[in-house]
Amino acid sequence: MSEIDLKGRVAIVTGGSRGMGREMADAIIEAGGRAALMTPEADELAATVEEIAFHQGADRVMALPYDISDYGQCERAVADTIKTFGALHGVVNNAALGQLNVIAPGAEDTNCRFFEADPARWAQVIRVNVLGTYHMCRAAVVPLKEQGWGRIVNVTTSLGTMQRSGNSPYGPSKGAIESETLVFAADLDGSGVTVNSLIPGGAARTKFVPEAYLTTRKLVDPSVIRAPIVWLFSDLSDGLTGGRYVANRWDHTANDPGLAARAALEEPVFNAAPEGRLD
Amino acid sequence: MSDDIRLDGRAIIVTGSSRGMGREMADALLAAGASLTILSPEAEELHATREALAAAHDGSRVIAHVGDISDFDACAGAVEATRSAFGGLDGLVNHAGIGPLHVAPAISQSEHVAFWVADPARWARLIEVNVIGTYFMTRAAAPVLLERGWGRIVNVTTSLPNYSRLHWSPYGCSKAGIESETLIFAQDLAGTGVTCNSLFPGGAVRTSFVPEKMHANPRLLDPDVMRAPIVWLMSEQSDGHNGERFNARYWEADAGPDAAFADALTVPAYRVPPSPAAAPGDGA
Repeated sequence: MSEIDLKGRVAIVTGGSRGMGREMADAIIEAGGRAALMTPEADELAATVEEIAFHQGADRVMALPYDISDYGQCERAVADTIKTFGALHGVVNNAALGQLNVIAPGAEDTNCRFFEADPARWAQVIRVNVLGTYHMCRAAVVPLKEQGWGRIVNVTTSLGTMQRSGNSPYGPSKGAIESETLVFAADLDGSGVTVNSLIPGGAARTKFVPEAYLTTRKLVDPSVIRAPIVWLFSDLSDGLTGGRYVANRWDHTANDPGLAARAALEEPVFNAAPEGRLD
Repeated sequence: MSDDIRLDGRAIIVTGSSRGMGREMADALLAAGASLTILSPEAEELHATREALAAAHDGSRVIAHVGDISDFDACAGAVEATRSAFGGLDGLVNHAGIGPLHVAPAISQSEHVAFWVADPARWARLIEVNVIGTYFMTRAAAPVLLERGWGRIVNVTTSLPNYSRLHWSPYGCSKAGIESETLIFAQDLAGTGVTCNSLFPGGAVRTSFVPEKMHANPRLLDPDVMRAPIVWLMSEQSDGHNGERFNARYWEADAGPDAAFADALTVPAYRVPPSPAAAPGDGA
């Protein structure tokens, strides 16, 4: 996707210190943009920012050592970014707690039946994921609306995760975020600010899955997320809002990025059928 | 009405039952013979409702438990109170929730607002109560139901368009989360005798969830639309129905207790994934 130029664009990437967040930050920066990486894990954040600055220049990356579950910290993140980079064009809501937060350490898969979960840990996943995504949207939306151009990208998950055994609280948190994507997109319709969901298309090879998965599962490479995020942050996706893009269905053979994206576009997760009598 | 269905000896918790649809469901379940714990954090209204329900039915079959479902200990307390009053627990109606009009900067505005207009603390509070509270209550009740090998959990949700509608955050988002809880909890419970289903009224209902000025609109549903479906869902008649979703307005009372549900059974909130093998729940 080297043909897409993001020169001057500024994105906040939550959970940007590693995994898919890091991939997206790298991709945005390599396309000419700038990224503010946000995570409360200060040591890892400092190391990642230092590494990116060394390769890409210190003026292309900054650290936001804040927690999305606290609205005040999200406001500070937006203010810091605008102060340092002089602009903000969008937010990638990638930070999340996963099933690793509720399953037993060393478990071989991420399944957790709801009645065996620790209530406080279960609740924390909802707080970070559902509220954190909202907090960042809320904190960033005013400057984005004022400039009449902006991007909100919510990283969610596969449809099966929202409805299959053992997948709470992660699945319900992402189901709620899919609804945030659609409602926020409606709220922002015509403003120049778009809201879309982006998913890898399967469990990705990151610290988000148990180590056992590295040998037992076919995992998606986190780099699949690079091309979609660059396209979503470019003018090429102007006007396209409320969509759900599956990164590993990106058509890299298409000579037009719009066609590459269309191959990855999936219907909303919610049924559209009328809710009358079933035949 | 499904007057023929009896729930004698069944102990059920109905959350958010001091008024509106919760109170209607409580009244219907009491009329069918069940024993009830009604729950709400609004103590005064809850006690007044308990008095009214006790006067209309057998007062020994209804207790009030003042509690907030976003507090796990309060949920565990409601389960304990039910067991000690009635000797067990057979069902849970997760109805309590904060409505869509409670996130505007001034509650007196009583209207739906864009997500950036809403008060962040109230937006967050709605998610805490609706999404986490529904889980907390279910988590507290499940071990008792599982031990017994039979039980009913019903989550009250909303119509599909509200999951993507202008100005419907966070209410629609919270119910989207609960629909996912229903589907996942149902499968976590598969084969245990305990079921989990969603029930929604099928339109705007004349309750505090809808602006007062709209209440005269004849197209609004009455909260009593929930009565027959909740009695059926809490009974053995609904054995084998798990992870399903019912639209109360299409309840066909005349069809009799065995068939009344058929028209109300509707599409799940989430699209069915292409194939289980092709798209496994990946936890990521």
